[in-house]
Amino acid sequence: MKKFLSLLLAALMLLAVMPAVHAEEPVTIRFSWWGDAVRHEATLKAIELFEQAYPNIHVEAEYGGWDGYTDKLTTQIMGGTAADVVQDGGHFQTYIIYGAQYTDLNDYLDIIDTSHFSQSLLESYCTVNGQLISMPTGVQAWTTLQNTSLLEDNGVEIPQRWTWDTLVEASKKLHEADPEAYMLNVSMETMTNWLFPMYIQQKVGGTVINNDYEMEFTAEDLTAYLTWLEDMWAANGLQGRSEQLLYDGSPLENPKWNGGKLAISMCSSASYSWYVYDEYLKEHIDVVDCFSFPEGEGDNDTIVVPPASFYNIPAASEHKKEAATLINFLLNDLDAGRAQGTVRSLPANSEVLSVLQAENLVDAGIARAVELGSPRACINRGTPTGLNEVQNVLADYIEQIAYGQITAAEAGPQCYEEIQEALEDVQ
Amino acid sequence: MTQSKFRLFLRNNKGFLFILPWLIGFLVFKMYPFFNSLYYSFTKYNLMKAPAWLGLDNYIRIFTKDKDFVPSLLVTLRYVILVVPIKLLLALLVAMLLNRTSWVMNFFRTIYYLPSIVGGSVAVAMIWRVLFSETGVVNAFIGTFGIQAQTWLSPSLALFTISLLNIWTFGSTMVLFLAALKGIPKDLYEAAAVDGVPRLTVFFRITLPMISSIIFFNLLMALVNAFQEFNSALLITGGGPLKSTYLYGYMLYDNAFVSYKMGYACAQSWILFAIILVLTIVIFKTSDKWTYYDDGGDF
Repeated sequence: MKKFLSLLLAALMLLAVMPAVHAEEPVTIRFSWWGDAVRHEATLKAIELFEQAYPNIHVEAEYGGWDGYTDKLTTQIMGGTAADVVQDGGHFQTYIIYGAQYTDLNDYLDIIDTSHFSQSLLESYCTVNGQLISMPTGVQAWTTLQNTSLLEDNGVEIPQRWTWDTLVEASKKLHEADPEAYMLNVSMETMTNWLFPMYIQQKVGGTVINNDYEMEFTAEDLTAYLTWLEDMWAANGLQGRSEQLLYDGSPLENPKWNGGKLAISMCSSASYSWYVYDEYLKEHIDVVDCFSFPEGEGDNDTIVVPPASFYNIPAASEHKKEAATLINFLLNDLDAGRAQGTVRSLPANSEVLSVLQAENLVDAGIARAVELGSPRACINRGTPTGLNEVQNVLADYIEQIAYGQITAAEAGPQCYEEIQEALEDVQ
Repeated sequence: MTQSKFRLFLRNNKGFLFILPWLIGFLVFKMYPFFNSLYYSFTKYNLMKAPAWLGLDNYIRIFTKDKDFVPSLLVTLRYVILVVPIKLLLALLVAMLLNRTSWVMNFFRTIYYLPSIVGGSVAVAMIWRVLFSETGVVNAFIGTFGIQAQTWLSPSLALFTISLLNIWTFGSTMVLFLAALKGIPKDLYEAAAVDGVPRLTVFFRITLPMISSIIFFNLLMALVNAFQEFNSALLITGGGPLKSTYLYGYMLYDNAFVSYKMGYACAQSWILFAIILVLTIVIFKTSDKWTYYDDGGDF
């Protein structure tokens, strides 16, 4: 009996000690992102490294394509079922921020090291009302891809840097020499979300629409941009809208681009690797400087450089510490950085970036885009995110101009007024 | 309730137990969102903040201020008028051609039904874009007949082009017609043949009246589906050019999932529901004038 009792006591003691031994209970967190096969593979590799470094944290990966990602994410966040770490495209953050659906990462700065990140980048893009609601996955450069052979073969002179006006002139020459060829390969989104803010920022400098939802440009500035588009269409620098809209979702899949009949395309360096896969393009495409106003004409020659995407921790997460640990590892660990390379564009972490550069892990095209873009990079995002209504208004008028239903001179003031109304609505 | 009464209740309502899984699914996934959307339609709701009560504001705004509402409704009506008759006629025509007994017919039935299975998918919409592009197969095909290449997604033709995608999926309508055609008693045709009735008269006097109940059903389904069309506008044209394909369903999506104006979108969807309901009632009410049921048609 004594023996039995002592055994029982020993067993009880062992049980009492057990939790102390396993102080760090195994935790499973979920991590969701979108991307292509290359990004998936690289991210899974980084997760593997993370699990080796933190054996008590198991990461369940939830990944897929971009299609429907934001719809799913919004629904999950609203339902409180989103993953513990989510990759967010940023363009609809505004909506989520106002509902305070993301965790303030300032509370986890003891876990997430932000010392290698540009503080102005964090302030411009990741901070709202003093809350650090996200960490940038990478910075991107606005990459201008030029089919140099097409231009040279048709006798079009290529300047050191295109200006808005030289593009119009060159468009005429190119289309005259080859009636099947056009200068710019753009989608409606390129015209409303990228070219428009870039044009306005270069023209008036700084902000396009401020955080109080007020326009910092005049109706004349808007008319000038619409007139430039009108001129581009008149000069056959842009394809007819009926053809263009077929590739609105993915302009770089336009067969005319892959077939060497479109001279200039633009994309973010974040998606650069997805597009320059074609053998023909590899041979004929150069990364060139992004266009601007001629010296002295515009207020500045900046290009907006927003982060490629963000990592966030939804407010409903039950494992915020572990989620923060994962974010820190993905962004700061050098091996994780090597594993991920530039699958989310260039790392925003300067230390990781210099390691990648030193070890030749940065794609030559992306490196060139950044080399050209960095001196002109503008951290100020110019417009608050999530202004879809403004884009819709702009798109309506651009389309009417494309079909000659309205002139740019008429459209400018009307469009300006409607953007004003849309902004009042958002407020 | 005593135990025996409970047993009695169970015995009398056994049927409900069998349909319970469906019933629960219906109540949770259909009825709840249905009535919830009615509530949301009276609120300002952006998914992120709790809905704020607005009363009739959304509805008033739709009818008085929304510059997309009427044009989009007109585009949708045009789409319905284009799709529904052509789809029904085509389905009936093919069903009549296939209404013979031969093993080849089974093969063709499958072939014609295939588009209904793959019809609205993203991949097909992508193929549609390639087929109808300037240098696409369609232009190459009509070119062989000496017809000039068309810009299929121009403001004047885009609606027609996306209509074709819906019309192409006439398979299930055709199968129903085929079943109805097979159900017509042979002796009616034999009697007509003995009397030497011309074929056209046989079609109008025997075939059409005998399948009128299925025409009624197909008409209703095609109408409801066409009013709610969304995929083709999103995937092929993005509602453009110049909003010529800005279908009602696409406008709803735009408001709900692009602008996050859920309350407003709910109000718009209830207006669409009301329109479809009225049309359905009209068709139902007039149907007893032109449909024929073997059993008298009592439900």
